[in-house]
Amino acid sequence: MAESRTLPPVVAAPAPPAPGLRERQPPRWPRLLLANRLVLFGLLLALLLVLLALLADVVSPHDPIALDVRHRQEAPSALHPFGTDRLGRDILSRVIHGARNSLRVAAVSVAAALLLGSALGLVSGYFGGLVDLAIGRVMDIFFSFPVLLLAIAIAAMLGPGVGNASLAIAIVYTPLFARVVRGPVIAERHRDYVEAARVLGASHPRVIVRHILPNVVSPMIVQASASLSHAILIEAALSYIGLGTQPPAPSWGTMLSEGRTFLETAPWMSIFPGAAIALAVLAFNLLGDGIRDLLDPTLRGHGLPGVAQR
Amino acid sequence: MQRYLVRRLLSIPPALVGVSILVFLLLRLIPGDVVDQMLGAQNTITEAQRQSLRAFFGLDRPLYVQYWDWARRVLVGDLGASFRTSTPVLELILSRLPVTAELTLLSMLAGLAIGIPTGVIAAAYRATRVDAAARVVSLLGLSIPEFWQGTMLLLLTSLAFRWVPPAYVPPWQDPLSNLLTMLLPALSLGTVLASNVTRMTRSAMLDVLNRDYIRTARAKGLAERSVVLRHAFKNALIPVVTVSGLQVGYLLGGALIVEEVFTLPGIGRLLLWGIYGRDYPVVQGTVLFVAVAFIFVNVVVDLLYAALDPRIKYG
Repeated sequence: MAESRTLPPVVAAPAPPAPGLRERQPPRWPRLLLANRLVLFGLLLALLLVLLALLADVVSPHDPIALDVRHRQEAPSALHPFGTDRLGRDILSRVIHGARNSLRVAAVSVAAALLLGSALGLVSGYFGGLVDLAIGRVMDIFFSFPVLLLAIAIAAMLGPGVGNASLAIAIVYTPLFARVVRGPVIAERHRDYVEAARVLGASHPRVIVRHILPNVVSPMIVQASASLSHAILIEAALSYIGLGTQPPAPSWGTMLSEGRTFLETAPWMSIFPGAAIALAVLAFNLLGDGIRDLLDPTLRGHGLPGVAQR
Repeated sequence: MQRYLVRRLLSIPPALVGVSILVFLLLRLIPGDVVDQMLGAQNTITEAQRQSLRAFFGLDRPLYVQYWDWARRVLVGDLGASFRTSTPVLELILSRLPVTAELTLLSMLAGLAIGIPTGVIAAAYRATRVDAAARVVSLLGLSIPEFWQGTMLLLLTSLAFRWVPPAYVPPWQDPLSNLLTMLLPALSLGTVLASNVTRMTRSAMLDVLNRDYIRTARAKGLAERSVVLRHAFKNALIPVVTVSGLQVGYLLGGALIVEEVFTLPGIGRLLLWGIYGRDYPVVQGTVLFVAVAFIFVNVVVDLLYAALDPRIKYG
């Protein structure tokens, strides 16, 4: 007993009741949210960011790419709360539109990785054998790279651009979803209800999609929420080194790299976009923690980072 | 342990082959091919000339022949030469390796030096303000991009102390100046690591502090300090080592960007120099080199973990 504590708990939580038999229970999430103010804070912050991103055109005080050469590199003022950049563009407006850019890249790339990776994990875990071995080996290769290095390499080869950066992030995170989904699929595959479905004549694709998938959704969601914040970070890093979103489109990473030269004369060019990245990542980190606690009670309270480590 | 050692060492060659195949295939992601990219959009050469250029680079041969040809040369240390300066790529990498290696190592040290004590203290003072502060700060640390943190550290030191780090000199020329240069970059990377290490140390300590033998230690009247440091800390260290090992990939990737922030002449800036100049041998060689280094570091971490924890037999 004593030596099992540092390892994942051997005695798992009681097996979930068979699907369909579960009694209706009051949802747990409102209580969890109230109990954990940090998660609540993350949720509100994330909602705020999503709103800002959706309403960017309405709430931005200025056009994010309109030049105003008479007001270049102005310090924060009532007219420009975050100041202006070297071309006189309003930094607040660019930060708000940057939220749209960041969240879109993160959502698109994580969704793509989720779809492809989960499909691979489902097939790999369900069929096992050679298929599993082949997929596993290819995924292992991807795990042999530092995440950021691989993203940079792929984005560099595809060429700079926000689309290619999204693709690079999606490719980098696909193996993670495959690995996270594969394990639970293997656990489900030999359950009686799967056998029953097969005996009743259900085809393999039908069994996978209709019967197994619903039972392995929670690791997918936990992984997706943990990956969002990392995707925001990688997009910012790629844009910072010129491989992601291209100017003049507003992107937090690009703004940071533009501000670097003027760090001493116009520090606001560097302060605000970076703070925006940090807040967005924080919001999704907290949200990810909360979702993990909600869906994976065995990990609750450990304060461990999500499956995707930075 | 010996069997595990052998097995772990035997897993290296397949990983190397896999990584080399992927790095080789990376070049196929280029829209068009290398020749098109080198010539640029406004090339005026004829199709025949283009084909002969492709033949010159061996691009007209089957893919596996190209791979085998490339891999054979890589095996003897020939990573090709830079398109722009004709310098052998391996030479370029090795001349910049000390910077990246030093940065990674110092960041690791900084991360552990900050993270482990913080985690232990947070666990010892569980559910107090100290603990809450440690948790919030480590959450912030995980959320701040290292390249922004680096920029802000630069801004802070230049505003508050009128100090900017000196230009890079190798440690064997002027160790003090070298350390001063590396201070801020290592902190930028190290604090992210420290945040992870704090969280891990705290939760590992909390696990251990609940065990029976800790209760025994307390029951026989040992000072709390001795219980925490001598009995609990040693046993909590194992998962911390694992997590720190997992972070090497993050450090290697992050180092690439942090070098750019602080204009350190390391492998990361070499990679970017290659990317901006479409110098594909440089890009390919650097990516391969870092990935291979990562594989070997991972093996070392695994072995260290096995050596630290005698319970793990890895049959």
